[in-house]
Amino acid sequence: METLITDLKTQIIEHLNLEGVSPGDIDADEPLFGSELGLDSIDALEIIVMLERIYGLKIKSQEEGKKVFYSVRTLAEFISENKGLGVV
Amino acid sequence: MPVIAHYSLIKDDALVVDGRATYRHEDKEAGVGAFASALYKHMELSYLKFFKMDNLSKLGFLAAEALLKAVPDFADTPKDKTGLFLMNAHSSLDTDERYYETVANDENNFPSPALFVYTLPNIVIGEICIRHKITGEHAFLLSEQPDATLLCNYVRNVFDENAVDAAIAGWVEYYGDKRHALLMWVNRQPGQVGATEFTPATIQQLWTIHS
Amino acid sequence: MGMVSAIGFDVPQALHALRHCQTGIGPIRFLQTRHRGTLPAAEVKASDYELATLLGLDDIRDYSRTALLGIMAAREAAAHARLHEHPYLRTGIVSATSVGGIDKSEVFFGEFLKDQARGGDLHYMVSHDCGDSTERIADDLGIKDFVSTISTACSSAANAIMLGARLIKAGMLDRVLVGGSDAITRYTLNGFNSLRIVDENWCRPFDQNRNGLNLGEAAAYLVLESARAVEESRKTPLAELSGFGNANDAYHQTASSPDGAGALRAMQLALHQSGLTTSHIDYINAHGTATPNNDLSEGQALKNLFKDYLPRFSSTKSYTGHTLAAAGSVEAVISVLSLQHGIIIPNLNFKDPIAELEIAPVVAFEEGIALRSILSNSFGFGGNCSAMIFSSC
Repeated sequence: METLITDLKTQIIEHLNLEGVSPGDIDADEPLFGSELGLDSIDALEIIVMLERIYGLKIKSQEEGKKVFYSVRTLAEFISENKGLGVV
Repeated sequence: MPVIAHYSLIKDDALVVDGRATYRHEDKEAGVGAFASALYKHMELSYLKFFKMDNLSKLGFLAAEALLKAVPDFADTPKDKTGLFLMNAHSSLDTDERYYETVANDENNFPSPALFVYTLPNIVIGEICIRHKITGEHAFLLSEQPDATLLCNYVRNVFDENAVDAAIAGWVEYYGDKRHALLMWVNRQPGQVGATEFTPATIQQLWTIHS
Repeated sequence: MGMVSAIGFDVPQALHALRHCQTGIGPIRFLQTRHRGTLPAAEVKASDYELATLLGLDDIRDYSRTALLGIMAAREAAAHARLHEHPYLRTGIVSATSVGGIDKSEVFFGEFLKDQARGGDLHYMVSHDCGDSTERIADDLGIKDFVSTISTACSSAANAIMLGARLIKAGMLDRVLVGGSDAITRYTLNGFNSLRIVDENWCRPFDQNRNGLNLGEAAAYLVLESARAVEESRKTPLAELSGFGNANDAYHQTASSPDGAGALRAMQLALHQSGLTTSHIDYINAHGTATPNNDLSEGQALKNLFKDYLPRFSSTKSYTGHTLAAAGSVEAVISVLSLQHGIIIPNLNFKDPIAELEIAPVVAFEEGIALRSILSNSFGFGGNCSAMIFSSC
């Protein structure tokens, strides 16, 4: 899980062009959105694409998205729960 | 008769404000990304969204930062009476191509929302408006060459109608290895030191100098 | 006026469809895309070759679909306005597009990526520059005095109409063909879908359960003429463009502000310019894309402007789909038709009002109404908000 969390942080930084942010700056349990990272709705959509491309996982609804995207840890939990099940 | 009170110009490796070269990038061959990041640091800006912008928006954004820093009364200018009129030849083609690569084939099809957003040239206007809370009239025109007459007539019309009291007008182009932004601060205050009349000839002059 | 859209190849066909509440939105038939069968769209019901045949063009490799649609609608508008009868009048064109020649570039890049060594057919790249479709329309009609292209996303055509009006007011032109053209492409369909604002069903503007837009394609042009040109040609104008306004929402690249500040300001500016008050507006052709964000924001702005006296309103995107850069002129044509014929086109697929707003669009066709002025809204990415008012003459 911790490796996945670190991977995710790196991927998020890279995909969302978070200049000057290192994985250590992101708290895995803090809310991803509404934080100092300044992420907005387009970033959320970009994370959806990232999940599909790297992990083959789809977010089914906005409600699910809200729960899954709460923090890096919830994101990692979603991936480890659904990985191997193919595209959900 | 509106006047050009201030201008900023980004061309190749240099930033020029009101005729003075205020920044020159050490690496002449640097790509637009490296150049824009270096200029951002040089200007000591702190605006996270900058790094999410496409190259066209970065250029326009930086040129606007430099320009508005040189406008002493910008803070007192009513933002709903400030206009923004830009043009270029290649629209958002650089980003269009980058985005297109994400939808190029059906097997590996992951369209990027963050890129798609920037496949419109007027997004650079949106970015400048968000940053400086400018809410006045605005437009983005496409023209094969910098068309000083069209720009001048357009902006003068808007002034004549009293739709704006001041405006940022100019050319923002990025495609291939070409980067060229000229933004002018246009207002209605004759007699300002250094101000020139806003005419096709004076615009053309600014377009062609510093080359 | 001229218009080609999912509801017809010309204005009379569109009027017939609108009168009979027939939508042009349906399964994708012409666009090559993996979304065929899942996403509906409002396509013009002809392939590029069929369009070319209708236009009498032989070699269409250089013509993007946007240009083909544009030429078709522009020819209708020019014929309708009898532009050829007074060749000495200074005539220009201001056209809007956001996708330009992207459809042809898709063909080019597709081939290019498949076989980089061989390279693609460079003919296709010729049409990519957004200004290209305007040049081709101008060439087709022999318009030389002024040719310009506007690109401000989904409000482009409204801005083209505004620029045209200014050119006439400033005495630079006597007549100007204004409007826009945008074809459906994989590029835009995938893009809007990646923003998660495309409905898999028919779009439901202003409905509580709306779930996004349907993409459409169209070209629509109107001919604006100066008072002098009208007098000299002894024509009866169809309507007057009595006011327009444009403002930036300065909120987000793609989302409208919750209170619709930019939209409100654009409408206020248009009213101010027309010298009218809110009570003179008899109908509003809303932007109404059916995305959760737009309809809430636009509805809020309408409520803030009209208070308790909101006139009848509807979104005709439930017929034409969202035609992006052409939307402003498509809806301008529909607004003028409403004035001319005294009709109000109902909003399709509406059931329940948006809870936060409690406003409901017109849902039944109305006829025999004396309409004085119509407000037409167009908003675009980049915070571009435009409003126009058309008045009966």
